[in-house]
Amino acid sequence: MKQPAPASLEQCALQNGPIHRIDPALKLLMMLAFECCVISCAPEQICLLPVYLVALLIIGTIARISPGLFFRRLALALPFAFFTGIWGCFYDHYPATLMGFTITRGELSFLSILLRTALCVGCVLIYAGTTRISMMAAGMRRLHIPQEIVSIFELMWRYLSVLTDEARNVRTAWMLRNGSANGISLKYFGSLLGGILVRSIDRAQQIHTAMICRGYPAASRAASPSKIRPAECIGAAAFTASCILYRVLA
Amino acid sequence: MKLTLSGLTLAYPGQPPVLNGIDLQIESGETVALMGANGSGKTSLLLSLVGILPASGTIRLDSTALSKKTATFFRQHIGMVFQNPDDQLFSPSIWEDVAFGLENMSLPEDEIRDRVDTLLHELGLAHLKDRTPHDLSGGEKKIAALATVLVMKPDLIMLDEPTAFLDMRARKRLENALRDIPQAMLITTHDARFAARMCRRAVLLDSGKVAADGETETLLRDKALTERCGVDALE
Repeated sequence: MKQPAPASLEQCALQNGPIHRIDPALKLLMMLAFECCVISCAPEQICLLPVYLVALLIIGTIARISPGLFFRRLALALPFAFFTGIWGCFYDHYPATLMGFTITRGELSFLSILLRTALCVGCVLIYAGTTRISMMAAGMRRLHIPQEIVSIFELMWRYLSVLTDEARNVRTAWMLRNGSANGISLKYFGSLLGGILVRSIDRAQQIHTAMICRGYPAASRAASPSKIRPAECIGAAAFTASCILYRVLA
Repeated sequence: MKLTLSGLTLAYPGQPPVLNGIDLQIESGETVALMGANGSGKTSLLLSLVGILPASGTIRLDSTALSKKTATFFRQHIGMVFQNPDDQLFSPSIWEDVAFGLENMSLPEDEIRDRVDTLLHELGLAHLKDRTPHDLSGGEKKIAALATVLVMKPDLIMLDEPTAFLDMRARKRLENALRDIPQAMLITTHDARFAARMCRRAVLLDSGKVAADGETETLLRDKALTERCGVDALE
């Protein structure tokens, strides 16, 4: 029977592909190296970015992340980059060239911001789609990131779903008593938002209690990935070195 | 395993005590129903037993008394299944949720995998292991919440209103799962027939005190007692 495609990145992360099996700490380091290389490209070096894009798409394909899911999530981040970068087009009219075409420096900067954002967010999406939350946290611990930060990361992830659930319930209850209305009117928005917050805090407390009942936070959690294999280290080092060398030498 | 409570009292400032001098013993393998009206202190009692609510008095598991230092020991030996399974299931997949407690126990990864897979298979949840908890039906969520506790192999399992919101089929499935559990169980419930079927012994609470402790059928057929405690009597 054909397996249904994963509906979320969390479900993608449960698969067992070659990228999934890489140690989460190594993946985190590789991601950081990749992002540093991408971010450090000046707008004039935009021609370097397509190579990183190709690398990202190849990794995404090997990781078996559904393109639809990947691009839908990516599209959520791009408006922020769009509104950040678009202003340069209005203010910086100094001429620049891109692949033989003459454009303004503002436009070049805009394209560079869009592309760099897409690459960085795409890289994070691939990391999220190939690493379970518990493994991400374990990877952070392996890198000696302070326990407080790791706990905040874990709890934020868990409470995000609580907040979404509560918001959905309140919206449904509102819609059921407001059949003709299309959305929540501003008049009631504040009190509904307050209600959602209070209910979320209640539920978050319940969830925290349930976590404590099952031993959270333990001094040392065993969600630690198995030992890093030499092949993983070599692969990660090769990837990181390629990213950096390409950035420095190209 | 023997759980002993003596003089357990829990009060919030300016309010009448939620628990008022509870004395109780639960032996290994016993199944006890904890019944009482809403607000009689059932859930507070359960939360006190794992040190979530700070009650005065003594709680002992065999010879170990509950304190801040021993709270982790108690939580490893006493499991709690919450009334609302959505509070208990918070991970992206059922498998990860069931593994959560074992990860906190610092068990080796292979053992975690073995224990989770075996239990999910035994409870008939193996096909749901990669599903997100939100996708499950109410009955499946309840069984999954039970699995998250069973996998830790506690000596005592506390279940808060396990049959709440369940239809007849889901209730039967849960009952069958509970019948196979060898550990001691402390079950809070409003369902008199469920209590009579599952538990030989019942403890009835009234205003934070133990109003009666004895054979479930006998207590629940006492109309005056059940009326006083605000629980349904057996017909």
